[in-house]
Amino acid sequence: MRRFLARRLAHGAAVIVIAASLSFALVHLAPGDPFSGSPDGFAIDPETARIRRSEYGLDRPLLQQYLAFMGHLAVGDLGRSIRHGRPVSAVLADALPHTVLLMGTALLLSFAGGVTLGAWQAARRGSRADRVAGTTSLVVVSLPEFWLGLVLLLVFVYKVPILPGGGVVDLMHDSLSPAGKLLDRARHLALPSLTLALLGTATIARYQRAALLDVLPQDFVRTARAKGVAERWVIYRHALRNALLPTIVLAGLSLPTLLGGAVFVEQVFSWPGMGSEAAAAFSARDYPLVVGAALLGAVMVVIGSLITDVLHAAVDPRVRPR
Amino acid sequence: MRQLTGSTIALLVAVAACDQSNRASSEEAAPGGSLIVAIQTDIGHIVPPAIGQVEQKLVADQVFEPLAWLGDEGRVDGGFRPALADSWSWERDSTVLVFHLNPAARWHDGRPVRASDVRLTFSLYTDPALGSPERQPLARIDSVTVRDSLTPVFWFGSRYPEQLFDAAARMLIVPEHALAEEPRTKLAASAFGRGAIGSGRFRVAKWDPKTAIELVADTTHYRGRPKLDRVIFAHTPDPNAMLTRFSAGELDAAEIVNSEHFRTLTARPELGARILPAFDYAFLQFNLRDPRQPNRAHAVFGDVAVRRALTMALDRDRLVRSQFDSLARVALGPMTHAQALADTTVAMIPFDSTGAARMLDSLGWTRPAGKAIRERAGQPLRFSVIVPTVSRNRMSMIVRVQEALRRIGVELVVDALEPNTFMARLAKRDFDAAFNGTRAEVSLAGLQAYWTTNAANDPAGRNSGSYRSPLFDAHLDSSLSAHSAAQARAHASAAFETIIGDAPAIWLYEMRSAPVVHKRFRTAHMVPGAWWAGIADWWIPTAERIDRDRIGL
Repeated sequence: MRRFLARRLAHGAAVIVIAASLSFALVHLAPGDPFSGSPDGFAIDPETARIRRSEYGLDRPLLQQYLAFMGHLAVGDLGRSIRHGRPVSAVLADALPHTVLLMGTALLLSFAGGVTLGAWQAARRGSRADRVAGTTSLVVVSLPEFWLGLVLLLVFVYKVPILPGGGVVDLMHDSLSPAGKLLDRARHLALPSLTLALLGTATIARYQRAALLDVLPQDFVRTARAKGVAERWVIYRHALRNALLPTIVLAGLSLPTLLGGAVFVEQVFSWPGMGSEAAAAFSARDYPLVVGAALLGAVMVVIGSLITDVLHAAVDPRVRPR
Repeated sequence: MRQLTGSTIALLVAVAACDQSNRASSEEAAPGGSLIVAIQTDIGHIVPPAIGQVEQKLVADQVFEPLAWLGDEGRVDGGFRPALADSWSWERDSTVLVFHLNPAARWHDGRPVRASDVRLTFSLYTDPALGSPERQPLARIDSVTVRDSLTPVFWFGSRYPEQLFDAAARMLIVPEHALAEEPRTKLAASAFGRGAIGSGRFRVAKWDPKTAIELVADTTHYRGRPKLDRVIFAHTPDPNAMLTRFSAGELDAAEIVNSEHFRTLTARPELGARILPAFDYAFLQFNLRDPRQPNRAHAVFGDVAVRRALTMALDRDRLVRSQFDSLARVALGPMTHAQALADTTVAMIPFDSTGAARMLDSLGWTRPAGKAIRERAGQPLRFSVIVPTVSRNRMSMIVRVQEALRRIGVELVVDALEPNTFMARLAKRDFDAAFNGTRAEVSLAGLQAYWTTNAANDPAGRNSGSYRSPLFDAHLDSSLSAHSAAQARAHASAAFETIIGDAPAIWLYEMRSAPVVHKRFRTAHMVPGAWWAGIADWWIPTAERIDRDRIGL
C-alpha cells in the first residue's frame, strides 16, 4: 500500500508540474497583457504600463520568465498577483475555504442524492416513476450551471423569498448568536451548493442506476433472494454496496467539473471563491494568479483522484496493490 | 418612459428634485439607516492616486475628500463647493493658487489635515508608478508647496481656465502620516488600500473581498455626520442576479446600463430612477492607415468622403432609441453632454441614406447589376469591425449598424473579440474599424490623449485610428490654454467642428447615468457622472425604515 501511495503521489506531482507549465504557456501566449487597459475606456498610461511590466518581469523573454517562475515555484513562491498586488498564495488562501465549503457541500449532497435516487430508480426499473426520474435527471444534466442558478435565485429569492441571494453572511451577522451565525451561513450556502448539487445528483443518479442494474442479476443477489431476504434489504444492503464502486470513482473525478461549474455559480451568487477569482484573473491577464489558480485546481483534482484510488482499493480487494 | 425626450427628462428630474427637497424640509431626518449599493467589480482598493475604475471612485468619494467638490452643474470653471479647503485666492497674475484648509478637518484617526498632506497627494497623483488617469492633466501644475500647516500653494506655469478644477477637484487628498513611508509601487496592495484613513463623512468599517465593503458614518465629522448610519457596497457581478436581488429588496441602489433591466426595475412602485448626463461614449472608429502597411492610407477609410458617406447612411437617432430607450442619446462627437465645454450646437453629419448612396456612387463605389455589395475596380466595399464581446451594448448595436450599412451596399464583417484581444489589436492598430468606447474627462484635456497628432505619432499612444489634423490640434491647445472662458469655449467649438467634419469615427451613442434607488431614501444632489456625490446627505424618514435601517452604529 505504501508503494502504491508513493507511485500515485509521484504521478500527481508530475501532473501538477505539467499543469503549471501548460497554464503558464497558455496564459502568456494569449493576446493582450495585464496592462493593456480595458474596452470600457480606462486606458493605462504608457509610462505606467512600462514601469509595471518591468516590475513584474514581463519585459523579459518568455523562457526567462518561465525559468524564473519554476524556480520560485520550487520554493513554494507563486509570485504576486498583479490585480491584487498581494502574494498569490494569500489571495488563494482567502478564496480557498469558500470554494472547499461550497464544493464539499455540493459533493456531499450530490453523492447522497444521486446514490439514493439511482437506487430508487433501479428498484423500479422500467416503471413510470423510473422513466420520469430518468428524463428529469437528463434534463437537469443538460442545463447550464448559471441558468439553473438564476432560476433558483428567481424562485427562492424573489418569488418565495426564503433564502438570501448572494454573499456569505448577512448584514446583521455580527449581531447574531452562535447558532444564528451558523444558520445564517447555512442559508447563504444553500442556493449555490444546491445549484451544483442538483447537477451532480442527476449525473450520479444515472451512473448509480446503471451500476445497480448490472449488479442485480448477479448470483449473490439471487442467492440472497433465495434465502428469503426482503427485497429492500437485498437492494440496499447487498446489491448497492457492490454497485457503489463506479460511483466512488465518479465522485472523485467530478471534482474538475464541480470546480468548472463553481466559476459560474460563484458569479451568480457573489460567492467569493476560487472559481470567480480565477475567471476574473484570466480576464485581467493576471498571469501569476491564473497560473496559481490552475495549479491549485490541479492539486485539488490530484488529491480527489488519490482519495478515489484509496477508497476504491479499500472497498474493492481486487484492485488492492499486492 | 419609452418616448421621453431630453427636455422632458430634465423637467422630470427637476420636479422630482423639488418634490424631494419639499419632503425633506417637512419631515424630520433623524440619523439612521443602511444603504446597500450594488457594485459589479471586485474593486480591490481605494487608494485615490491609484484608482482606475468608476466603482473605486464611487467608494473612495465617500471616504476621502478633495479640496473642493465640483458644483451640481459639473462646471470646471466655477461653482465649486468647499470641502477640505474653506477658501482660496489667486496671486501673481493668477499663476499661484493659495488654499486655506478648514482647521477643523480631521483624518479618521483623529489627526488634523495638513498642507503637507496636499503636497504628498500631488506627488502621488503625478507619479507614473501609480498610474493615475489624472497624471497627464495635472502635469500643468508645476509644483505644490506648503506655506504653513493650513496653507498649500499650487504653482502653475501659465494661466488657463481649468486651473482651479485641476488643483481643487481632481485629487482626493490622502494622509501623509499613513502613506509617506509606503513603497509607491505597493500602495494599492498596502493595508491602507482596504482600511483607508480618509477625511470623508464615512469611514471604512469592514472589507470582505469580493463580498461587501461596509462604511459607517463618521459621527464627529467637521462638516456634520452623514444622515445615514452606513453604506454597504455589495459585490454582485452578475447583472441578472443583481436584478433579482434588487427586486427582492436585498439591494437599495445601483446604476443600471441595460434598458430592459431599467424598465423592469422602474416598473416597481418602491423604486425610483434618475437619469443624468454621463461621460461614456461609444464610436465606430475608422483606421485611417492601412493596418498591414501603416505608411499608406487605408484603402477605404483614407478618404474623408467615404467616412462621411458611411456616417450619413446611419439613422443614429433611431438606432440609439431602439436599443437604449432613454438610457443613451446620440453622441455629439468626442464629447458628451456632461462636459461643461461640450458644444451641443455643432452641426452633426445628418442622416441621409439617399445622399450617402449618391456620394458613394460619385466616389466610384457603385453597385454592379445583380450584386448587393458596392465595388470599385473589382474591390467590394467590405470592411471588418472589431468589437469587444464583454460589451453587450456594443455587441447588440453593431448588428443594427451592420444591417443599416447593408441597405446601401456596404458589407460590415463583425469580428467579436474577448477584451484583451480587442485591446491588443487596438494597441497594434491592427483593424479596419473598431467599435471603441471611452470615458470622457470632465475637462477637455483628456482629448489630447485620444485624438491629437502627438497621440497618433506615439506608437504607444491611444489615437488608434491615426487621426491627424493640425487644425484640430491647434484649436484644442488654444482652448486649453485660453485666458478666458469665452475664448476657451470658442476654440473648443472650432475643434469639435473640425473633428466632426473629418469623421474619423461615427459617433454613435453616449450613455446616460441611470441610478435606481429605493424610494424610502430621500436623495440629495447628484452630479453628472457621479450620482453618488450626495450620499452623505441622503436620509430615510423614520416611519419608512426597515429592519436593516435600525441596526444602529
